[in-house]
Amino acid sequence: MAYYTQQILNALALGFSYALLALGYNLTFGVLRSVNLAYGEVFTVAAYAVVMASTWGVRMTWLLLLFGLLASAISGLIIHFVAVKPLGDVTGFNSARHLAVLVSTMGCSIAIHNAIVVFVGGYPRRFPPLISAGSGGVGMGNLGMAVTISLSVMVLLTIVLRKTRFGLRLRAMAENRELALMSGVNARRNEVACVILSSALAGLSGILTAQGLGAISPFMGGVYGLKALVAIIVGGPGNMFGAVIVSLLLGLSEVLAVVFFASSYRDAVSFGLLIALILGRRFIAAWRT
Amino acid sequence: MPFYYYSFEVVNLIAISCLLAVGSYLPYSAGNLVVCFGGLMGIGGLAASMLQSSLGVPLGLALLGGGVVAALAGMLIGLAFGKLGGFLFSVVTLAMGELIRVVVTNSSALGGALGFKDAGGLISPAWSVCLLLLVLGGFWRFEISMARRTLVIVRESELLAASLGLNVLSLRTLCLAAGSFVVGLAGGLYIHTVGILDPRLFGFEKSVEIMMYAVLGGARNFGGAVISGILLTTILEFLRVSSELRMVLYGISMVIVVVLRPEGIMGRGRLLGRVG
Repeated sequence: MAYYTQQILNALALGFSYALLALGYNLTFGVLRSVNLAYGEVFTVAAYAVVMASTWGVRMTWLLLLFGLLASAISGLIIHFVAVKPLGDVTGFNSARHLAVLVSTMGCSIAIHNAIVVFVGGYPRRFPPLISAGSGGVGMGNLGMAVTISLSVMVLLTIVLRKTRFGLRLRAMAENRELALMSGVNARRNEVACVILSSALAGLSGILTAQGLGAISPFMGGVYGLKALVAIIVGGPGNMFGAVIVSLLLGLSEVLAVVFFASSYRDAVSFGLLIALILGRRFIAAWRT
Repeated sequence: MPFYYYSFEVVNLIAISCLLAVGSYLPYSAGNLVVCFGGLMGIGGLAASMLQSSLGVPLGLALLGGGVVAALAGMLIGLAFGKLGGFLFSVVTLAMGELIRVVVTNSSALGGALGFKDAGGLISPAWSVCLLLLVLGGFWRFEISMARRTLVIVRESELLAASLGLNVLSLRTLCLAAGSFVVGLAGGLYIHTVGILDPRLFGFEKSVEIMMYAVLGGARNFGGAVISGILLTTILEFLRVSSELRMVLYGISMVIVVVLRPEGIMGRGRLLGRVG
């Protein structure tokens, strides 16, 4: 019985860390109207920042977390100002700028994870256990903590987006950018705030995932980011609830794949599921019309 | 004479890169940025060498067969996801490329994580150069045809194309299939150049490299794609000293190119052909 409880907890923790990443992605996608493929690298950078800080002798959990989140916010801002902002504002959903942003952020992603390989090392590194209750980072306590933190952050994010002036401004920019700007929303300031918020979400997701895995590698962010991105395409771009549901499904399918097949089938199962879901959505849409 | 063989191999690699470049240019010129050509190239290469090793098909036909299999795969991708359009399509092709890589890595029949070794012997660069010349000739003829003008309309304005009665979706799918055919040919040649088809060789980074040929060359002229294929391959060959640092520089230069010249190095210029 304990085995199955453990697996359910695993699936929930994984699903929620995908959900945090997907929510942050959805936020930037909604407000900036561009797909940032280097977003997964923010996830890696946060995890590496925590590892570096702990090798420098920092032991307090909140300080490590703060350091990781700070690193993710800074790297997110750098990516934004180097690879997204210079390409100009959006003109329409189908504008050529989307493809340009896709290519430039892809370049950023390649540069960042290879820079980590060059300057830190390409081998996987051990991730320090943030709370000492679990044994070695895979215990029940750590997973429970990951689920609790993710859930409370999601609730907090919902409250911020639904109930505060700041959330209203972000939603207004996502809904109709021109109208929002004309109504006196400061585009520049809110874009920067949105980038910081979504990078912090990615960073938190990265730290929690690394905590669950117990080890990190420079290439982990790319795959996680891509899965989260495809998850929001499946759930409908801009749809927060759909993103969370698809992410949980993704986590469950991966854990099932590991339980019933082998861990090397993990990515095959999750990508296969996402692509099947996209096709399924298309067929349902075609059938309805 | 080691240098002699080395230069042979470089000629081969450059010819293959040019094939990959024109292959990825074709859907790009119709407005689709495809990021799974690494995977399609791998499919073409695997199909070609399986035809050769298990069915005993002669080399030329096997290469052709690899191209056809890759074209079918490309057509399926276009039919399944073409409707998403724009950058969503690009992202889904990226996921498809990863899916292809992961599936090949996990199936022992296709060589598994160690790579497909039963690839047949090395071939002379004459094969790739001759095929490249044939394909370039075809492209040159295509570039001055009416069909090419249709594609310009499809790229520049979907709305206009639809109002002229053009079926945007099927034209784009056709371009993707034709481009995949050329990429599959290149995959067959590639497996005969390196002698082994490691799934890591056709993962994300290969797909990005093939995509960059088209992006650097610009969507208006296939000459640009050929030039960027030659340039990128040569530059990457010279930077081979440090593989990771090379990738860092490569990533940074991708950002610089897109920020400074979003239309590619041959954006407004023209080398061959008249339409643009």
